[in-house]
Amino acid sequence: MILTRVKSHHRPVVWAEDQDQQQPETITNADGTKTIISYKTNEQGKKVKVTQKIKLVVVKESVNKNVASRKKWAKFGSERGNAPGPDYRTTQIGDVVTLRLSTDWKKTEAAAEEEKKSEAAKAKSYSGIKCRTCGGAHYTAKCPFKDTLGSVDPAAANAEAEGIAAAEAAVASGKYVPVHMRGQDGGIASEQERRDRDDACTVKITQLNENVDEFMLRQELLARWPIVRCTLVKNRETGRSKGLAYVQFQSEEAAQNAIERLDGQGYQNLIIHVEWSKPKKNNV
Amino acid sequence: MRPLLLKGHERSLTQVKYNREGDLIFTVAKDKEASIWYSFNGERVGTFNGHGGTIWSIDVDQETLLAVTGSADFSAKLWKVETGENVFTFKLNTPVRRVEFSGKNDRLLCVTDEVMGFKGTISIFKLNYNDIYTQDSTPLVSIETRENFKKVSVAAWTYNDKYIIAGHQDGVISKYDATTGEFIDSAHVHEGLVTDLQFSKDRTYFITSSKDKTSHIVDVDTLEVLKTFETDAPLNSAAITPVKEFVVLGGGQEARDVTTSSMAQGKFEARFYHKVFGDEVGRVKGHFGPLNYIAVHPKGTSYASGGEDGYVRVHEFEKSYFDFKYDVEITAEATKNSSLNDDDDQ
Amino acid sequence: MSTELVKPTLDSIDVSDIDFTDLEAEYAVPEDETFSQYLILDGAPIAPESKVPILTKVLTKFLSSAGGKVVDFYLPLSDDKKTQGFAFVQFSSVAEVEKAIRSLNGKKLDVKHTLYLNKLSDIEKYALSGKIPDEFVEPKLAEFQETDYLKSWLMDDAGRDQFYMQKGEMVGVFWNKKNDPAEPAVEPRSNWTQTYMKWSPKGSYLFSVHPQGVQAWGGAEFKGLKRFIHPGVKLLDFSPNEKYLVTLSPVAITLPDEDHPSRASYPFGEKSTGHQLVIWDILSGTPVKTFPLPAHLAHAKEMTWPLIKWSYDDRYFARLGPNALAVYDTEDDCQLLDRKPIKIDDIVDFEFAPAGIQLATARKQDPLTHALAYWTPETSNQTAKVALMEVPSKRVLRTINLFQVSDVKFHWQDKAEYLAVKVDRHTKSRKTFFTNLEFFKLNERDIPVEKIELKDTVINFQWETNGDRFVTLSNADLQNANKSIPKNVITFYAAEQSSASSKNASKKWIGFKSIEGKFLNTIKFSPKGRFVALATIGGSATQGSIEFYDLDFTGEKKESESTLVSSHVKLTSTYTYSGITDMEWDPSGRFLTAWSSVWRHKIENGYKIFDLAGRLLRDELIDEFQAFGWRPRPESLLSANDKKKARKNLREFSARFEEADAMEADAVLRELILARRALLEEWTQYRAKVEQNKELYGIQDEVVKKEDFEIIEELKEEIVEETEEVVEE
Repeated sequence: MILTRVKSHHRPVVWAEDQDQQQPETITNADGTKTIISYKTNEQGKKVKVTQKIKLVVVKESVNKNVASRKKWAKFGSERGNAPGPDYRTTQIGDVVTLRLSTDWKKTEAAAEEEKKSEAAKAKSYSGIKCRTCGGAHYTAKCPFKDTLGSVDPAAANAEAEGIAAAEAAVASGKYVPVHMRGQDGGIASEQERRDRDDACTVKITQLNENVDEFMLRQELLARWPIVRCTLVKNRETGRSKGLAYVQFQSEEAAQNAIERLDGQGYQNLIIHVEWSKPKKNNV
Repeated sequence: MRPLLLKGHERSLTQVKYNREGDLIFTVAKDKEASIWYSFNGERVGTFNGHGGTIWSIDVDQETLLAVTGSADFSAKLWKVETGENVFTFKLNTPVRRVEFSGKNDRLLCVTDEVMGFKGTISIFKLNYNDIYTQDSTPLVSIETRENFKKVSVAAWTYNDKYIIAGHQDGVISKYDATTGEFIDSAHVHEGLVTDLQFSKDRTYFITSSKDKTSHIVDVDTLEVLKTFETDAPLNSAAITPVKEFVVLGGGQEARDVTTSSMAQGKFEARFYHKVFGDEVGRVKGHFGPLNYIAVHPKGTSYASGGEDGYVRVHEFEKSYFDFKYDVEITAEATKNSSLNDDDDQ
Repeated sequence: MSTELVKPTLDSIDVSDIDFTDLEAEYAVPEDETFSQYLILDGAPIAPESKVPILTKVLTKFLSSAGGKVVDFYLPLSDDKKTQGFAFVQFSSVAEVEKAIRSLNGKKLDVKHTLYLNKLSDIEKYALSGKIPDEFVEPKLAEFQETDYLKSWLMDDAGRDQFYMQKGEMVGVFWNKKNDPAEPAVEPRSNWTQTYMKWSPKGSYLFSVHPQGVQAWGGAEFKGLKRFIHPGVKLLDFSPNEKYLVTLSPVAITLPDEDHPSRASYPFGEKSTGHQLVIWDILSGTPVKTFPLPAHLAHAKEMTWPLIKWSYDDRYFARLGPNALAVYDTEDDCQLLDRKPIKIDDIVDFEFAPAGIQLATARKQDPLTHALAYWTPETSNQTAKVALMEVPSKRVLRTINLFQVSDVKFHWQDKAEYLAVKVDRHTKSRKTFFTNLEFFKLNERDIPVEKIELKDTVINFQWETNGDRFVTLSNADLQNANKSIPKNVITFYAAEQSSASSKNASKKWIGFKSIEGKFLNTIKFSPKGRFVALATIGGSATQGSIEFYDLDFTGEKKESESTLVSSHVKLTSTYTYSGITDMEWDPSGRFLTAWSSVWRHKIENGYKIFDLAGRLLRDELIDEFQAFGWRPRPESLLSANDKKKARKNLREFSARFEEADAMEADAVLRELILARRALLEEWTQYRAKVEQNKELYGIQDEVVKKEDFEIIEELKEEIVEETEEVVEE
């Protein structure tokens, strides 16, 4: 079958294709035909090599003189002086839309939607993303079950997901962030807050004895360092301590000092664990 | 099909038109520039700059020499299409809602708003093609809104430029002699504002659209409603397709009545109805707001829709569009052909 | 002297602006109360003079039984020295007279003698002054008006169901035609109702609501039947067997003036003045009883409805009062049981059993028991209680005590074999809520109560129609719910298979399947059981949708499902319907309609009909669509045997119906083709006429000028060959 590759003497609209595509490679063959090798990505996200053999043919076409002359117009108005050819800023190619004409178009439409959905589902399963919490096809940080099934390891999750880090920072600051706000949406807001506040001085204390309350933390354990705020994480229903506290020191030095002195020490019959509340980044 | 997206306007579109050959698309919006585009690749050729307010309407003559725009700045401007030069400005008393060249290009009609104590008026101006810079700014005829009639929202020329048909705010359609401006007839076809009025190719019948969610096909001579298309959304525009017996309707629920999801997903649709059978046969999604205007290529090969979302989407029809026929149509054609053959035999 | 004075004529003095009230009060003639302590006793035995003392003793004792003190008793003797069957009685106070009449009038002294008590003043008022004619005039009976056969729709050959639809000002009743456009049963009427329409519970009547009252319609033509005049009526309800109608109007009843022409046809009497709640007899169209609105509801914004609840057979009805439950017996002139309300402190809610109960202790021939369940909340020194009471005996059959209760809802199973009590409980801190389900098993000895304790809050509960399975929708954390995350859980419960437990063991329910992560909030079981539709209705952030489940899906069970029950759930279909505001099964359980009413919002107004597996049969977008209502059906008259036979020969029956369906479909198709042909022909003719006119008018078609075109030769690329290969995974 012969396909007409170009509809008119204008170049096909290539600028709408994905930007990061390789330039097609053109080889002129001995018999006057050309071979064009290009790459594209198919529905399954795989790279496909497309090899086209092209022959130049002479086509006779009847063209309206006026139309032909109008095609040679210089640009005017706000477009004055711009080069011929569509400008990406004003002219784009939209996503595929379909017009399925049918006396029972709704049914046809519904059937097509259904097909699309199942294809999308298929594509999704190919995406290779797997949640470590629930095994679903999404990032662990965005897992809808992260609060019910529980995070795998707080530290590791921190390192992986900026969203949770931001949320925890917010918790550390004593400001309650609703569970559903942690993660992508709340992340933006708390990101902003994080920049405003110096969170580099916050440490996380874990493996605290359940009997330890905030007062004890301030008066006994942390008495020798200047503290901005200290928050003990409690079970919302029972009010019992979860053995986890966030402490913001007045200076980074103080925080560093506290970590060195307290980490691995015994307190109220338990060996407590003290660390930076989030992995320290360079140059922060 | 992948539509061309024309993003030259910053605000919602008000009118979209093809020229006679269909190689150019003229668009106007609530911003102050009219845009002219090549229909085959969506390239913007130029803009008409000079209006000081929303441009409500645009039209182009048969030869694509002159274009006219009507604006909320109380003026209608004539433009040389090739250069975008403003050759003349008609000053009017109130905002101009509709402009249209007569079929022979010798006259121009302007529909002006009914505000500030002025009556809504259809003004007809004579056009001078010998010296396009000199035009007579006194109208040949002024058709004022009659007693007991609501203001005119749209108006257009019939075949032979014989009559002018106007659509009113309350759903009434009225007919006037285009030369004398004399009132001839009226019919109450809609229950709400008539939003658009477009003619068939031979200008013997036209289609109306209305906020009352219906669209009608009406005969010029009798003003009789020939067909009715009922939808579930207020309509802003309706067009008749050449070649195929379809009509395309555009509109959409007001933003407050729409689920946010459908807004986000671009679920505003152009609706295709069969002109003769009146059934809805398909829809095209894509706009993020109601469709404000629909224009069909004069050869029936593509259509353009201008939306409240500020985009113009140009859709080239695929083969399936031309292939689609009702069984009844196929049978009718077959019998017609066979009877023709019989004639040949004799 | 006085005679010599000129008398001023009465007319010459203007007295209209003088206030006489003080004088009137001072000189008012007090009503003669001399004899109001007396009453006349009638219907006593006639006895000779010798028996007078003993008779006096008996009658005095009888009269004193109501608590009054008989001061004087006089038995007049006739000429032949016999008592005459009546006596004059004097009580010590007027109140005692009234009390005696209220409780003793019409009571039987013995088998032969019924005693009648009347106030002496009443006898004077009615019997003596000639107000009541002595001659008996036969009351004029209104001529019997025949109505159309009210159940005619049940005789449809194809067994189709009817529904009404309301759109704008129009209301129409239609036959369901599955995929095809509904067929009007009567011509749709404009302004049939002012607000809404309602079918009676068995489908015999369709009620319309108007400012003056409600009107019943029925028969094949939906002719107007009885009118129920109740100005300002807003709400209506029915007794289960559609014998009685209950209406409520915020406007208190006032009587038109005595001489007003509408007074004669006005249904209410003096006693109903100021009342808002009316119970009507549907057949006669007359009010049976009227009530004022309870004080705490008089200014309520949200009316709890119904205010009157009925026993399954329309015999008893009850209303909730403060600290009491008033139960009335329709067979005793709608009087309170024992003439007084049942005192139940703090009673919050009650619910009648929807069917007669076969108690384990009852004998086979005993009539089925009427019962109602009610609950009272916790007080400082008492636990919350749920009790089951037999009516009319007022015997409490079973009580359970509950604590930390925030709310209780009753869910009777249709056959009243079980009563599920949904108890919403809270922790001591009142921060966490959870639900317990308590099941009263009414057919078992001593009415055992089975308890299911859940960690979640059950937001919706529904029994399978006539079955012993149920479905719950629950949510683990209702308080802190983020509405954009689907957190509702569907759980399907069924009774444990009898083989798994010994024969006499009490019934146990097992949640055999749970599906998490849903927005769903509505459960509708098919009226024939087995199929259930769940929907998400309302909630702006979420999209409306319907899910169809089959509880007896025939197929392999997955490992995750419990084998203790025979049920096997399968999601048969999911349909996204963003506009959905309501849904309802048809009475045959074959179809489900979901609709979007303009009363709620303007999105996708219209209706959709699905089959029981959730396949969309019909989809209509209708502007201004308001309401949809399937016409209910009465219970089938077929015996269990007949039904069995029908099931056995199902294949034959369905073949016959399928044939009819096919024929119908053919007919519809043929009609459609003909209609389209006509339309095409009409259009062709129109165009032909226009073409003729064109010549007449001198319209010229656009000419394509050859010189406008030029032939251009162009080099084009043609693809000769194209190959694609995947190079990267």
